[in-house]
Amino acid sequence: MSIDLAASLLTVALAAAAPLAVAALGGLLTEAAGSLSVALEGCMLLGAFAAAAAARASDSVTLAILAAIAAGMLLAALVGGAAGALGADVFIAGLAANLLAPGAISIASQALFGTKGVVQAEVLGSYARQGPLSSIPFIGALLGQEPLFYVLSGAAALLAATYSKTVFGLRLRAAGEGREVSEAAGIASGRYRFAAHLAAGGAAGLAGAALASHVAAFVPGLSAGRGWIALVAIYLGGKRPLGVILACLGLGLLIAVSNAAQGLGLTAELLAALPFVATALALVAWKRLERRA
Amino acid sequence: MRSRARSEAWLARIAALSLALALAAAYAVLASSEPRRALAAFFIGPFSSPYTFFALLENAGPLLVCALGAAIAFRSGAFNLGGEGQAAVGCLASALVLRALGPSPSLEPGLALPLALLGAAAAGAALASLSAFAESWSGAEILLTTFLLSQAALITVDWAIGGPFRDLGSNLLAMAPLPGQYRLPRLAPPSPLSLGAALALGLALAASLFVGRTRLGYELSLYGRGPGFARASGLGKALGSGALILSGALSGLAGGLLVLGQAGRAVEGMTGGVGWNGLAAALIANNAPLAAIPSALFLSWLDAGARQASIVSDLSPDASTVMKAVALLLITARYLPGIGTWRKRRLARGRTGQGAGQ
Repeated sequence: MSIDLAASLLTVALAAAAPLAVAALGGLLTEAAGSLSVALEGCMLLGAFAAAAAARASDSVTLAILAAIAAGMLLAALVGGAAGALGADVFIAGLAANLLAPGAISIASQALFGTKGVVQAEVLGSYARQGPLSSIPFIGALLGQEPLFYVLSGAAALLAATYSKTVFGLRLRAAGEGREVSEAAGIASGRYRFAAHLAAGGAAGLAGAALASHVAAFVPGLSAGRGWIALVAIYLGGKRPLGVILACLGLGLLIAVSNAAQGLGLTAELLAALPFVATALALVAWKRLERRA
Repeated sequence: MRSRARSEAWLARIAALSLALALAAAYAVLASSEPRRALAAFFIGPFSSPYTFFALLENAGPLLVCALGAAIAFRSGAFNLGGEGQAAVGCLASALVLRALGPSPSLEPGLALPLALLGAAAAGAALASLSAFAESWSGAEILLTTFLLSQAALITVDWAIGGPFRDLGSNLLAMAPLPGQYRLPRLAPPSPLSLGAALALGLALAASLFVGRTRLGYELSLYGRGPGFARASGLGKALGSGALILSGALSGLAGGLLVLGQAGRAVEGMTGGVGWNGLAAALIANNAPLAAIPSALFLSWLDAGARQASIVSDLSPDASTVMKAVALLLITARYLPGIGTWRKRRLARGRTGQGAGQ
């Protein structure tokens, strides 16, 4: 393998891993609280749409990112509220949120922009330009990424630290151990669970904003299963922050390699299937190794 | 006590569905410039003519078959989230079987049609069996592998229909239309109602008997409620795998019904959410095969109503998607065993499962 190819693979892998890691670490918080949210996919998609809509309305990337986070939190609040206050099943509520997002976006997009298709947002693209160091092999992969990459990395670090270093994270994990445990420790587990859902929704919304900024637009189906792949990363990473980050890096590399496989004669359409197959294979292989160990 | 819990659960379901309908009405009133017309089209439109009513029934058929598949998987504790992809491979397989038989029928339709449907079911079963095998070999979560493989299958099937097998004489990304004798007989022409809907109804009755009256059906539900207990009572893990594969077969069959029924050909993206809607229908029905019949009809009515309303007024046909999502969000399904957090929560509440089995 040439050095250039390896360097460009690394760049793409890191860029693909960053949004995955943010969403997965958000999801990890819900997992730790004993109420795993499968709504990451829907929150991501809604975040991407909110980013595009806010960017068009305000011409501000910062506002677009904030709108994406808020949108993700809103959808997550529905799931967390249904699961918490109404006693609905969190898994089913999450599936419902994933169904709700594309439908609601389609209606909103038609009403706001007169189209159910692509919503252009040029200004979002300004955050998705690679830095001046990007042409240097390997160093560029780390220091020459687009500005949003560093926002995502910061968010990932924040989420990971929240999980393992803060009182909030500790109480969250206590809430996940069970109602009796947390109540014995004087913790209102329901509130922590809801907070975990909000954090996960915001994180997934931010990841969605990154996807939208990459193409400077909202495209229907933009999340393309990334929210689910983030869920896989939680399992692959052994439900620990560092493991989840490593799993996302590995999955990012798989995605980068899948993209590069175009040279092997696979059509672009079929190529889109590869990350799913690769993720499934990675999950099966990892589980098998774990079982034998 | 038990029957009270049961009726409470059904009341909660009816409340969720009513709320979804109320939201739809509110949306129609707020968003439409002619709310009266939109409301009438939504709620009454599908029943306004025999044609629209029979079309509603025809669309409910594949939905019901997918719902049966989801219900059987859920009862056994296997979270099959791949219904959509399993239906898609069913579409492709049935179309390919009939393509292989050739345009000039070398086979009696009475043999060719079952063969095509069998191919569809086999394809769905094959896709699901990958996840069943992965689970027993490595312990990879079924809900993740079924979803991932289904996504890959959807992409691959669309590629196949729009690429190598595409009918180049057509503007659609679709395979060639099936010759007339290879389509399911229509029950009430000119409406699209076909034998497929009757077949779906028959399958629901059969599934109900299977679940409620056979030893295997009982063992499946027992396995779903507590794999550990079931294994201690001598029931094998093959039971759960078998249910997942059967579920895949039903989803695949639903894909076959889509091709041989109304569409009469394989079209790119033709599953159009039938797997996810089937899953919703199964959950609304609390995984009871008989209850899946009204449940599938209800969702089909929402689709038909939203479509009608979007034709005569300025409402979006996506309203039905939002309504389904709202209904699903509020259907409090505490009945599905199999996921760690649920069992933990149920234990935390000191509740004994009001089981999927009933």
